[in-house]
Amino acid sequence: MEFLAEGFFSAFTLLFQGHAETYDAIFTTLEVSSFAILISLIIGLPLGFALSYYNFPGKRHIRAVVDTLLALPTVIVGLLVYAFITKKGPLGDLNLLFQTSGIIVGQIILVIPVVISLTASGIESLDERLKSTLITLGASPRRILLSTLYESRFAVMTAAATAYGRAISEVGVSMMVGGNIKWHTRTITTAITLETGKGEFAMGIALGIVLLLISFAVNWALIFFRKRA
Amino acid sequence: MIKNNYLYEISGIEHSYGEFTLRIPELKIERGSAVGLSGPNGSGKSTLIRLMSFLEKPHTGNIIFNGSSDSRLRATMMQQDPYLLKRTVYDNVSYGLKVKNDYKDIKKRSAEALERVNLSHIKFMHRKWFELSGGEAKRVALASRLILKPEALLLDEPVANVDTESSRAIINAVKWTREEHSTTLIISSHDLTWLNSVTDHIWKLYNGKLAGSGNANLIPGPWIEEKNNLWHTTLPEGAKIYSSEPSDCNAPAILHPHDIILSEKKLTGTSAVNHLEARVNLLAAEGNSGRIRVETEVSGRIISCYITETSAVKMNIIPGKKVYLIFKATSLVWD
Repeated sequence: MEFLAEGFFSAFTLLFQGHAETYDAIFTTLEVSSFAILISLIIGLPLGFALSYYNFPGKRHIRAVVDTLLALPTVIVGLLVYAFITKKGPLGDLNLLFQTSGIIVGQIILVIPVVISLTASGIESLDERLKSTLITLGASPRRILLSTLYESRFAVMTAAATAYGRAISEVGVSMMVGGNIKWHTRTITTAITLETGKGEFAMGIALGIVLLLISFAVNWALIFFRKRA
Repeated sequence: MIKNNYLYEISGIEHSYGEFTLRIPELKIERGSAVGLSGPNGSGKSTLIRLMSFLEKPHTGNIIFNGSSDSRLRATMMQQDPYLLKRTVYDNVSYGLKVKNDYKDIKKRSAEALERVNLSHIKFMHRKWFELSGGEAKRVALASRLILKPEALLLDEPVANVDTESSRAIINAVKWTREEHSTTLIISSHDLTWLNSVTDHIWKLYNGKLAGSGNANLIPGPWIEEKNNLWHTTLPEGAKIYSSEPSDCNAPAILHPHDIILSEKKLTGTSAVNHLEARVNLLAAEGNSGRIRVETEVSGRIISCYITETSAVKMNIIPGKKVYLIFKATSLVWD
């Protein structure tokens, strides 16, 4: 167990001394996951709203597919995205492979079902009088969408936090699509995998601590906003 | 285009939920009038109000509002149990203005709307939705409609389950908006006395159909033939009401209050076949007409009749007093 204690000690040294390689992986993770979550929210929130608010043929089947995709293995997404963006793939000309933009695409595919499903559940649990209230107060369809999302803001915030947690903690997409390239596409999770494989526990533990701190920060923010609201 | 004097023109609407069907062949409501809708639970009052608020489209028929079928922003409705947005009172009251991008003096107007429903804007403006009592929440919901200055304000049971103070505040605000903005009022309520004090005319709904107007009593069927062209229906606690031949055995009969004689004693030797023992529930003055509406309970059903103030004093009619209602079988009519 001594190596673990040493690992923790070295981890704090790396973090407090501003070890460049460690911080590069942290910033890459934050950049990639933040972009992915932002785009996922822009696409996923209206889709989640539509899935719960409107009745249309096949709605239940679509809902079942979205819910199933919640458990989509990250390596499967990595594999699919890799197949599409590799030089021989249909999107090969976009040069996304081994780029942070490629990881972003993969993470969007991974977390969009989370955003859609949790948003739809949040809106389904809203009071059914909300819609008629908004209509009688003169809200346009766009206003109804925005106001309904705002009324379900706690569920939307939970969806965003859960999706962010899934994005920053995934390893399959980042490893397969990003290629774990130092100073370029190396994220916290791919760095932990690599360093642990090399027997370098210090950097792995340091990055693990940061990952936990990010998760705590996101959840604290969620609690803070709920309390304020 | 010259507009006629009708704000609402309803023709041939039919709207069904499960086994219930609302059928209104024709109904016209004049601009600036105050119309009440009365009837038992499940008679179709709320459905009619939802249709007239354009929240739902009738399955068949038309509702024309101000010459067109679009009422957005000009007709607004408050539900029986109104929903408040999960925001502050100010955000709730000002919501309708914000969606119209009407930000001019929005705080001042919101404060005025709150004061109109007798809620202090200083005290309530920044309260959250969960910091209000039921009556206060209803008043905030009403303020958020009043601020829109609608052409038609539709209220579904506005004073049901609210305290006296809220009920008084709602009645005053509703009367004010009619006087100030010529708002057409359409109000459903079980409370005939309250409805009489706010509206000019009351439509009775029974089983999805308009069944009489004003303070007419509705006597539901079924009507069973007795003898010599006399039919009867049995009231919940067993008393019988006799009528002439009904148009339909299950149709409700209309009994106008002015066709009923109220007596302290059971009369004999009259041509009237109905002599019903009743107990006075309440007395309500009908404006300044000198007429009093006496609401009585007869064998588990409410029946109203009219007497003059002089008669009320002379006969010492007070709530709880036992009286007799006397009327002819031919006083019961069908539409």
